[in-house]
Amino acid sequence: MNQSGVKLLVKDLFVEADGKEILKGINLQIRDGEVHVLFGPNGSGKSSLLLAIMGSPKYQVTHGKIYFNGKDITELPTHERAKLGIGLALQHPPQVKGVKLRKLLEYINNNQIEELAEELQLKEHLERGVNVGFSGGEAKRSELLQLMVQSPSLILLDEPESGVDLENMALVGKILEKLLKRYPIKERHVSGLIITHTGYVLDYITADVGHVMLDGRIICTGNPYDILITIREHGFLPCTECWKKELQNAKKGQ
Amino acid sequence: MQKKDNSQYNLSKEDKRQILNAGVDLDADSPTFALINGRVTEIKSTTQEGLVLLTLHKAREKYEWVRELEWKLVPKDKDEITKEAYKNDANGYFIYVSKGIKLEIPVQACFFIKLGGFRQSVHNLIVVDEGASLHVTNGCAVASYLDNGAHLGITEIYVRKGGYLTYTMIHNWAEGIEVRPRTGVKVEENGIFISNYISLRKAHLVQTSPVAYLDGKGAKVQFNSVVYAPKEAYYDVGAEVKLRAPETAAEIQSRSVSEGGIVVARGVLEALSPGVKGHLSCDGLMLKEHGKIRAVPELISHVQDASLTHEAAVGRISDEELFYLMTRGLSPNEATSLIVKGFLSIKIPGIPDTVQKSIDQTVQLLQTEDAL
Repeated sequence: MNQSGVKLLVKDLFVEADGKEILKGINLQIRDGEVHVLFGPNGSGKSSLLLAIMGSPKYQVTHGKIYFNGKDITELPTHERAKLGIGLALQHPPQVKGVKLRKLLEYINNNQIEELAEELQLKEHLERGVNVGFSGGEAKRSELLQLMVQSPSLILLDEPESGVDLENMALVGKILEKLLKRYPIKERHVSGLIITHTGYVLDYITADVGHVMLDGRIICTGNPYDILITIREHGFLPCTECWKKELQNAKKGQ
Repeated sequence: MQKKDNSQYNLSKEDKRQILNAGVDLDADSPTFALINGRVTEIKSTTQEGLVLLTLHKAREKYEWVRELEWKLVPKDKDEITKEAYKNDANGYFIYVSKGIKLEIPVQACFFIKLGGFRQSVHNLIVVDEGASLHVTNGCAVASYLDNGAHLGITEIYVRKGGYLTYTMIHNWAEGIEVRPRTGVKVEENGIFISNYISLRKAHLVQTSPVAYLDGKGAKVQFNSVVYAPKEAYYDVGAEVKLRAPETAAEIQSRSVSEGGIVVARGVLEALSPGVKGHLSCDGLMLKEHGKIRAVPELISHVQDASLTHEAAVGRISDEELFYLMTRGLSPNEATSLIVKGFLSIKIPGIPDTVQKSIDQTVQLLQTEDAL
């Protein structure tokens, strides 16, 4: 299979968690430098998809494959996926008591920690336990700081705008742009897969492809801005209706 | 007369490293006491005004009141350990700080065993006089090749009115070593005693439970312990505080990790006077399927107006934290080690930076290679 220029390829992926099927045949291809956006109502499997790509032990792949830069990573442990260049920012990162943010950053990559912390207004947080007592916005910035230090070539972001006030959103947007290396356009090579509920993040970074997830499946792929306009006006109801119709047609065709 | 062989008292480079890993730097310019096997090999104190550092035996000759303080806080017939130390008339250090003198530089004491099978008996006495302040760092270690021996230490501590003492003990034992310290502490009015106990290495058996008597109004005591028990290690570590005067306060804090070994974390707070406060917290982390952590907190109150509380939690490293660190490229072992070190890194408010630093450094030395 020729995967040249393809950063991430997810093929017919079925995933279970706690004995329950969560992802039901996901197909997704993200090319080098592309940013994709995942829309979908709560519980549709967006976060699960990100965690499965990262190799969370909570999610068991029962069928299908995940390829990164052409390499089959379906069975690879999380830290090795990270080392290959996949980075994840969680929506609600855990608090790691006793482990100083600085210490963790030094483990990741002892490079430019001071400058980056300064830029993300987290200099004082370097001496605190990772995410311990951080506000929502601080925890988000701490995720981005860790990603900046890690410098991955595929970035998985779970609702980067949630819990961030408007004032901080501009800063988060600026850092996202930097992380995804969006400019100059012809040098784009870092890819992204971003979950967004509100779409606010699209005010700050441009995206190439949008997907709508429903009940563990990607039911629609298209221009992310088109999808966002539909969702902003009507919620996910038209998507649900459209999906129902498609299912009915499929049945009739049988 | 038979010529004596002194080689058993000479410290090699490796020996010094073992001692350094127990927080004592014999080459540092600090007041230092060293006991190797059964002999006091070094006493260095001269430069500090208001400090007396002698052997207990010497101190008895010099000050007649010393004998009156001996065997008062640790009863000589308490158990076979105290009986043995009493029978042998064990020697150890005597540290005295004069009224109002605040010593910034810690006094270091090293107890080292080089002889296989040696039973080291020790009797120490500390007196911090009124308004004085002192920090003592005790490092206990054995030669790296040693796999058999015993350390039986008696320590009696008096903190006079308004006195302040931090008493840190770092153990760097080995498999096959048996350790049974017996410690008694008396704290008078508004005096403060802070004990820090750290042991992160294998030991056949460590069994200790210092007893503190808060005898003066407003006296305060804090016991912090950090224990890491590798396979086959057995730690029975606790503290007991008798709050015998009004408005006294006690805090016992323990952090234990079992990497296959056994830890019993005990704590007893006994309220005997009105207006006293005590809190006990035990946290345990199990790294393996086997091993054991047993938290035994005990609160006893004889009075109505007392507030005694405890909290205890034993569990495993959270999968969520482990996964989180792994998403940053840390291997399961690196992530575990980082979390364990973080768990054991206690911050103790009010102690000098040098003491905190020595605690931090000891924790950073921890090896968790076969944690997973």
